[in-house]
Amino acid sequence: MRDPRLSEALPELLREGVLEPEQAERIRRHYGLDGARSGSAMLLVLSIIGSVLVGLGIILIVAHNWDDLPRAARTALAFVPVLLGLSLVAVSLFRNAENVAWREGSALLLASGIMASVALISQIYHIHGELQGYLLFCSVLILPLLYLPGSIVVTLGFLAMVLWQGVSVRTEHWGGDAFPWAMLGLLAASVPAYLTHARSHGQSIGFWWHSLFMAIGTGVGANLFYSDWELAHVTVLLAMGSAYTLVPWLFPDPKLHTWPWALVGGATVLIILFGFSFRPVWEELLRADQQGFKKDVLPLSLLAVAVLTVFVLAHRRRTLFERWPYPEGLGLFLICLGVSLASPAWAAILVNLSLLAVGVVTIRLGITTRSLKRMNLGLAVVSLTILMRFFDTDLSFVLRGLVFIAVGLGFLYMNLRMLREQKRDGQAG
Amino acid sequence: MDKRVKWVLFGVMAAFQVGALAWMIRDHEQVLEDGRVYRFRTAPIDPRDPFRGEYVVLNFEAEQGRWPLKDGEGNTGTTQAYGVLGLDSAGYAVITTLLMEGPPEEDHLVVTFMTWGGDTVDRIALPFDRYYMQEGDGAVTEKLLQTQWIESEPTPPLPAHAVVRVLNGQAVVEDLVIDGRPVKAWLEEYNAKSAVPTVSY
Repeated sequence: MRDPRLSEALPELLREGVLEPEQAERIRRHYGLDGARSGSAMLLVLSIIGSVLVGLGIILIVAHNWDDLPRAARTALAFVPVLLGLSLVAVSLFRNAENVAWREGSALLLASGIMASVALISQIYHIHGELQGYLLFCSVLILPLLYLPGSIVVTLGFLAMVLWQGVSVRTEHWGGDAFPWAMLGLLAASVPAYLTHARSHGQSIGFWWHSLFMAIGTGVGANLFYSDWELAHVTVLLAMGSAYTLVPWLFPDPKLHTWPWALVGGATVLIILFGFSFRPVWEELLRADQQGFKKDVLPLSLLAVAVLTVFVLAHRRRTLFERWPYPEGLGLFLICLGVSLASPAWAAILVNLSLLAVGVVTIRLGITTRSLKRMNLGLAVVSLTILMRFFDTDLSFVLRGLVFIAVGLGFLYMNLRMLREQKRDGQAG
Repeated sequence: MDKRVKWVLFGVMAAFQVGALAWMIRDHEQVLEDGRVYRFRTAPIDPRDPFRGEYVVLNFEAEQGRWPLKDGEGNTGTTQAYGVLGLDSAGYAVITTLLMEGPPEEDHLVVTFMTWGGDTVDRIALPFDRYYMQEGDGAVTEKLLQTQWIESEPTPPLPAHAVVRVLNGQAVVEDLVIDGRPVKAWLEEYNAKSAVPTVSY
């Protein structure tokens, strides 16, 4: 945990005699605010920005396609970006092994060099194929950099590229029967790097981003293996979202930055529930012949087993409604699903009530933990559920206006109350 | 990690990355050196790739035709086949037959096509579709190949063909020829004309 405001406030507190030098030193040590570390963090940011700019510059220069140069010269030139990147990675590995700025910068330059070299060879030989082929080839060549030297920025770029490749295979390939198997293999190959990163730097901001990219990558990636999209698929997607919100309970270290999994999962659960709070959505999906399940029985079953495993593993460590109510959202949705078979209208009403319950539980958790963010999220869920009913009910403008005012006043009152309580807690402490 | 192990791992990674690029180059060089030349009639159009720059899409005449399929060969979806190469009366390349099993001894390409259970194929995709150009040249090339209007009378677009080397089913595009001249010669002439300053009175 590092707060820039604290680093700015400390000298002032020392000057004014509020803190003794020893106390200030202890605070600095506790929050990791020593000058050398701040300097190296700045160097790291600058090295990443510099490397990204140089790498993009190389790719853009290569994209010009120097047609005037003879083929032999261009072929020889194709190796230059990679050899340059390799030399810098070698220096980083064997001369500056502990320097993160060197590691990130050199690995980024090598990754850009690889992309530039492959682009150059594609130009020289007019190699055909969609962008996805290029992305796949580059991803395979970049994969080792996740482990040696183990760059986090390259890892994030790799995950984005692999996902881009997978989505384009599934959406652009004519015929629609091509599945992104290569993406699956590459994502699987990056899992050991994620676990290693969790062990070595699980509390760093870099790992927070790594978790976010892994959550989005696996979440979107898993949904690219369907041939159809029906009620069963939506249910499994919601189950996946619920399982993601349980990820923090799978790791024994509570300080590990696994929150992005819950963020992605919680957002998925809420978006689906908001969608199903409309009666026509139920009616539309129930009208389909529900044959999609048969076509996608394998991916759906595999995902269901994975979700079940997460629920079983987390069950031992988590009590009902602990920290957030999203895992329970799956149970609520399954009940609504059962009700929908008898009456889609009642299913929609139940989803609305579920959303209100999720919102109220989140507000309560926010108040008990003194978390403004969480309380406002709960308020947003309750307000959105109410406001969305404007779309399918015929309320007068006056009534709508009054609801808006009530919701606004509710937000203001709750936030002011929370701030007052936080202030009172601070004074009492 | 032990320094020696690190060196070995680094060596393996470097060999993999440089080796993959070298293999890619060697593979295509061999086709360019030993492959037989085929000319494919084409009409290029000009798109752009975010990483690899500008190119013209080669829209080949040889991709359209009528190829009969045997029973059970017309599965729904995308299918790969060996397209046997031949020449038409003007000496341009055509795909004479589609074979599901192979590879055949004759010069051939691996082509893809889509069917919906029918007994014939009328469109295939050749395994090459683009010709990379220097930045700005793609649009000029496309313009060269458009129908020109001279005193309200349209003149047909200039004929174009791609020179492709084929070896053991692998193909590499060697050149793009417009009206008998390599595209590079046209572009040099065009750029020289554009470089001449115009004087206005």
